Amino acid sequence: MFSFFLALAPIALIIILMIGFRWGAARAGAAGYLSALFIAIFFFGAGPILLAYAHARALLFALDVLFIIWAAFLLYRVADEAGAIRTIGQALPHLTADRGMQALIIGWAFASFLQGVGGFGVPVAVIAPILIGLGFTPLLAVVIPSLGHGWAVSFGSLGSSYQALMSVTGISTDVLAPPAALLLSIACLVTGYSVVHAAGGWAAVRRLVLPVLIMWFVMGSVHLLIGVSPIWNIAGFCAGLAGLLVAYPLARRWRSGDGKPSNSPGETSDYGILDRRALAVALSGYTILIILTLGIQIIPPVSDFLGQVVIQINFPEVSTAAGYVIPAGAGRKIPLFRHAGAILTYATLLAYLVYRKAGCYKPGAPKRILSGMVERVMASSVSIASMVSMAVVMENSGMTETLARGLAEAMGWAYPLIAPWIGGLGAFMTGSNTNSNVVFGALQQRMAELLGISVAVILAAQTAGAGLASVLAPTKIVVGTSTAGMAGREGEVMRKLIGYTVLILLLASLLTVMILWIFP
Amino acid sequence: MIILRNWFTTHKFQVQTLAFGLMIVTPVLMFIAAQGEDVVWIWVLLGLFGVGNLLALSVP
Repeated sequence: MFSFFLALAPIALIIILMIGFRWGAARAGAAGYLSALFIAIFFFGAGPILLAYAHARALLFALDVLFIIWAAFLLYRVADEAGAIRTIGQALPHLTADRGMQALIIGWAFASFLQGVGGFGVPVAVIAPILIGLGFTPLLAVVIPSLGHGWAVSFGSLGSSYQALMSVTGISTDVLAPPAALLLSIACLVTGYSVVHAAGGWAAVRRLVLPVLIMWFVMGSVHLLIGVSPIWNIAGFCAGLAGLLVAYPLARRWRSGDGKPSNSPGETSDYGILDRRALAVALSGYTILIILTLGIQIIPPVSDFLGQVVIQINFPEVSTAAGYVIPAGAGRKIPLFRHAGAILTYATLLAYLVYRKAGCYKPGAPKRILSGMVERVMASSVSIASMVSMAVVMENSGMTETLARGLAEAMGWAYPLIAPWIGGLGAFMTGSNTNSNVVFGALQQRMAELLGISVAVILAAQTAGAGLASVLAPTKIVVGTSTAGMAGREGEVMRKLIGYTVLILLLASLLTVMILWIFP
Repeated sequence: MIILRNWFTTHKFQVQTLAFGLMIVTPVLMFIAAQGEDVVWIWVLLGLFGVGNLLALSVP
């Protein structure tokens, strides 16, 4: 019991500092790391060799994440300097003036789509500036896409998280996909209403009951059908794309924001005349990103060619004085030219050329784009380095294992209720659905076998809980705050997100029990 | 104390850059030291990594 509370201490400290004292992620992460290091050395028997390798592993994880943050922020600066963010922000009210509807299209469907093709934190990093351009507060601009993309994480990023779960457990997709896809497709509905509620409160929820239901039906059905098919790796992407397609007619019908459907199809509104060419140029940066991501990830020869240069380190087996063993194996694999950060960089360079050709830049634009960028991303970079190091030290010293086992033993027969929370805990600590699945997948599988319940359903709860709770991870929040210009205010975002996330995880718990009846 | 706090506030970027630099460079050196099982160096480098975090913690 003492070990359990010791293992919990660094996470509790971060939560208290960020939510209770409103510290930024850089300070709270440093405090969490120092406490984790102290506890790992003095109570879990972590020696110097183990710690050295743990820090090297953490560096790979941190670089993996930072590559995306830096590249996403550069894309944002290139688009912003060209006036693209402002143009998109001015154009969307022509489609719909309804704030809730705007949040649904951009923060739910578009965020899910970006999660489908992109990776860690990309939806929030890309969408937050667009929502700010639309007039949303920076806080809501981070909160809305965070809530909106959580359901699409597990089958997003071209299925990397789901693939990781299958790899560590040896369970085939034929068995795992039905409960996992079903659970997440249902959770999609709650994320939709959460987005609308965050954007406009209960009035918006009442006003947009029908559009949310229609969009959910389309996105959820596509996600479920493709999730259980052989092309499960594009389930998140296809669901997001379907959501965008169905959102267009819905937005034109719910365009007024007065709660009444509108049939007026004109392009002129209270916001003036829509400049289609300017909008097309403004959107070109993000269109390039989508085309490049799809091309590189889906076309095997391109993917193989760019994936030739890989940064990867092999680590030897190490163990703590308490006997917790970390088996030998390769660390985080970073395909340098096929990485999400690399794709963002290619898109940024091409977008810059397109904007320059279109005459969007004034003299001295490159200098303005780069100036201040390093300063803006530094706080985020520090917090990512601290928090990832904390997570890996905890994992390698056996603290994470102690936490999970403690939770499992405390719950006993009610374990299915806690299974999504264990996944969520892993994602909160590491900021990644994939990492959570790697850390807790085998443990959840073993617990299900011991309790004699469906392994597939418990693993579905693991990946669903991890995906849904990953939006609350400090490392992921930092990605959003860095592009929304509110670095250091991550505690505010966490306070706003925590209620929604707890509610969604509670629903995941109930759904897990219900699905156990269907797949006993 | 207040003077120190003000100094950290006015030099936030420099302090965070130094902290980040320490957190990026020391793990590489730790890996090399671990391969040679050079325990003393690992403790020194862990200390430097900790200093990086203390610097991050010091910026209000």
